[in-house]
Formats: sequence, structure tokens, C-alpha cells
Amino acid sequence: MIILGIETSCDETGVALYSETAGLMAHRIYSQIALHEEFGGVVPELASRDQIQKLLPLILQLLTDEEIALSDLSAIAYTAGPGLAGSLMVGACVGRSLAYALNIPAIPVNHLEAHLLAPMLEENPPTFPHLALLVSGGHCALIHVEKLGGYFIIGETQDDAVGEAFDKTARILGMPYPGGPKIATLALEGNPTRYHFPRPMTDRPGLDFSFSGIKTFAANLIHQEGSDPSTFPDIAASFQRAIIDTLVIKSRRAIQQTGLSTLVVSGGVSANQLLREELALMARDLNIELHFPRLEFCTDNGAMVAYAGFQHIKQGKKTDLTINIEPRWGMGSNLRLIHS
Amino acid sequence: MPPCVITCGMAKILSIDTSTAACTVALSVEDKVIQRHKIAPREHAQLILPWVDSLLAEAGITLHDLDAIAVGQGPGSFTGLRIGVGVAQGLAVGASLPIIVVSSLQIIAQTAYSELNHEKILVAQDARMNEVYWAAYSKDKTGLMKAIVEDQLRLPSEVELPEGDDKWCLVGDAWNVYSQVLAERLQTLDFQPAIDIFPKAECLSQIASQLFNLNQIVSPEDAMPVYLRGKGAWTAVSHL
Repeated sequence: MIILGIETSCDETGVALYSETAGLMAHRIYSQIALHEEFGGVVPELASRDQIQKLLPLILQLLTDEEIALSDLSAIAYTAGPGLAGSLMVGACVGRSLAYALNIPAIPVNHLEAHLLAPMLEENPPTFPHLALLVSGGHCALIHVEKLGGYFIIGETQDDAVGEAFDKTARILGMPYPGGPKIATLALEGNPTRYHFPRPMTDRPGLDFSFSGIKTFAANLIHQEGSDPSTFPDIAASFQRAIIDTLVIKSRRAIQQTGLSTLVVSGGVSANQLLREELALMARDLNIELHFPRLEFCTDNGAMVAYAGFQHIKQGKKTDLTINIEPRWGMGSNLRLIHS
Repeated sequence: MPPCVITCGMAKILSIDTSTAACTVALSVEDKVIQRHKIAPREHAQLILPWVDSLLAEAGITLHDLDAIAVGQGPGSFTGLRIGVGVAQGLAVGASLPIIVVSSLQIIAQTAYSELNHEKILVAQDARMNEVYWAAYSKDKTGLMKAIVEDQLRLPSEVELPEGDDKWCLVGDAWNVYSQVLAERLQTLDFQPAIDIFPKAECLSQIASQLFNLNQIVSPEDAMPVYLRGKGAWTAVSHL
């Protein structure tokens, strides 16, 4: 059984082949970063235009490179949400129609679930149950993963996602989009203790997050320092330290509250090196297992979609011929993925 | 009123247009055309594949028996164009078929000719942002509507009648929004504007048949929407 995975939820076009016997066979990613840089952020209509231009050539190239014929495919999984409606629609239309033409099933996949399952593509994958920390440009949540399909959100952001806080602060520092990874690089040259940023919502019980305050603190601080570029490395380092501290404090608290012995981290911010180092220290201290996806599967990719689709196919999931997207598809605090 | 389809040759073609509020799909097999058509804003993605499936079943053929897939490539609703082109691409790749791309304004003109029996059609579709998609089509000797003024994005205050003393009929939904300025610009119009002409896939299949016979086909990955509005229309994103 070979599954083609298609990811088009935002500004990345990802495709992958996952085999029941061989595991992940290959994947390709096309990133639109250059397109959106001049606009300082993702322009949904332009993202959608790029998706339809890139998706089919990327699929055909992947199949050619791997010497896989269309007739070898057993199913097609595509991201149906959450994400940008126009971008999602491209993957859904091409994926669903191709599956119809090949007379194979098409599986709509929840993007968040795909991220949660991305670490399963690594050697020695995590076992269930475990605690998941999902940190990306659109999300920040602690999730009790009981089993495949059994996701309980036990803490989430009340305002900005963590990657969003990185990107917005980077923008105030004059960095081109997407600035999050650039903050981490600039922070390497800075002193993380020079400025004391708040660690929001850590002084009271609970597992929820709030990052808009840190972002505002950064904006005020930059103004206070006269927008002096020589202060930027210290601001970046202090800002990053506050965010990572907050994530570690909440993760530690969640492990202690749930008694789970495995922490699985995914989403774009899971590529952050300081986060990886600090969580490794915490894991050693608490004597728990720690899992990350490889760096290229932290951000959006087709491999995680193909894998999630494969798991649904195994459970016998079927769909009809309507092409449905769920731009606001959430993950509720019960056992099921919730359609909004 | 003449029938929309005069001749479709022998080609078996599936035709799709989702550039407007109309979702329209037709299947031409031998000398017959069957169609599904509904004014259904925001329902296109739900309707389209079930319709394709039922049309094929009705004709007693499969996708793989087709010769080509035709799609309206715009201009029109951006998301609508991507639904039509995305579905056409998926079907064509999966069944090893070529695609025939046709201007959605030409399909509207062909439909207008079929419904109004008027051989000179001006098409003005609302393009939002104070602009219109504009074109002029005229019937050629084979019965197809051919562009006299190519599809373009214009300010309503800048459109003008094509040269010559032909009698033109204006169709399209731009009249709903810009009737006053359009009436000023097109004073010599002879006919009452027809605002409720939506593209019909059976008229697309008529155009597509001829293009197929002329071998004007593209491979699926080369079938792309034509938006007419470029990325200059978007400005920097405000982020805070």
C-alpha cells in the first residue's frame, strides 16, 4: 500500500509517498517564502496562486524520481484544514479528483493531527499515551495524546501562537518575513539576561499560554532603547529566553500533572535549538522520553499528511465525492477531531 | 433560438466551468451533450465530482474513455477558477488525458449567443475592486464566438465599443454594479443588457470540440487559471 500525501494549507507545497511496508519513501517541499517576503507576510490569494502552479509538477516529479506509477498508489491523503481556504482548496481539488480518476480512496487530513504524528516518522517513534507540545506559527498547545485519534487539549494559547510572537517581534526588529528563525540566529550574539521579559501565566496554576504580552513588551522595549540596533541581539536573546522558559515551565507542569512519561514536540517552533536543548535538560531531570521530528518535518510537509492518511486508511475511513475543506478545523478537548 | 451545440465532432469531452456563481459540467459523447448546471455560489467543490460521476454513468462510459477535459480558465472568481482547473488537472492526470483551456468570457459569449441569438456580444463581468473583466466576441462562420476585443481588466469608465457600426449586446453582471457609467460609455448600445447570462458547460463543449480538432490541447500541469489581475493589486501585510 502506497499513500500520496498532499499538504497545501498555507505557503508551503508538500508532497510525499508513504509505504505500508517501507515507511516514508520520499518527499518534496516547495516553500513560497521568497514570494511573500516583499509583502511582510503571507498574502492568501498569492499563496493560493502559487499552490496551483506548483502542486501538480511537484507530484509528477516525485513519482518520476521514485519510479512510482500513478497506478501504484493505493490512496491519496490531503490536508483539509485548518489553514487558508484558498490554499487548502487547491490540494483538496487536485487530490480528490486524482483519487477519483484512479479509483482509489481520498482521505482529508487534519493538519494539526498530522503535525502531532510527524515524530512517528522517525526511528524509535514515541508510543501512546504521551504528552504533545505543538508549537507553530498558528498554534501553541499541550495535548494529552491517549491514542491515535484520541487528543485532549489540556492547555493552549489565549491569544498569539508562539511562532506568531516570534514573527511579529522579528518584524518590529526590522527583519524580513518570516523572522522567527532569524530571531534565534540573532539571539546567539546576545545576552539573554540583559532584559527581563515576563514569563506570562507561569505564576499561577494552569497550562494555558499567552504570548501577546511578551510581544508588546518587546515593542515597548525597542522603543525605549531608541530602536538602537546595537541593543537588538540582547533583546532577541532575552525575548527568546522568556518564550522558551515559559514553554518549558508549562511542559514540566503538564508532565507532572498527567504523570505521562513521554513528551513529543512538533510544529515549526520545534526546530528552535534553545527549545530543544532546554527540553532535553528537563527530560533528563524528570527522567522522561523526549521526541522531536527531524528539522525538515517541523514545518509543513507532505510526509506527515501521508502518514496520517495511512493511519486513517488502516482504520477503514471512507469519504464520498464531495470536496470539502475545513479552514477552521479544530481539535477539541474530547476524543474526536472537531469540524467547526 | 438555435441549439447551443451545432456539432461536436466525434470527440468525447468533459467540460467544466466554475468561474462564476454557476457550477456547470457537461459531457459530449458522439453527437449528444448532457449537462448539469446550477447557480450555486460556494457549492462548486461539493457538486462537481458527483456530477462528473453521474454524467459518465448516464452516458455509460468511464473517465478513461474520454478524449479530453475542457475547463474555463477565467477570468472570474479566483477560488472558482482554481476549483475548476484543480479538478480538471486531477482528472486529466489520473486518466492520462489532455486539457483544453477556454476563456470563461468566451463561454459566456457563446452561451449568450445560444440564449439570445445575438451574434455580437460584449461581456462585462464584475471584477470587484472597481474594475470589470471586459471583452467583445463575434460569431464566426463556424458558429463559434471569437474575440474581437481580447479579455482584459478595465475600469468601467474606460470601456468602449469596438470600432465599426455593429450592433452589440452587453451581457454580464457588471451591469448590476456599474450600469450608470457603462451606459454612459456605451451609449449606442442597441439592446437591453442581459445581466443574468451565466456560462453553460454545453457551450464550452462546443468550443472545446473545435479546439480539440485543431489539436489545441495542453498537458495537465500547463492548464492554469487566467486571473488578469496581477500581484500588483496586493500591498504589504499589516502584522500588528
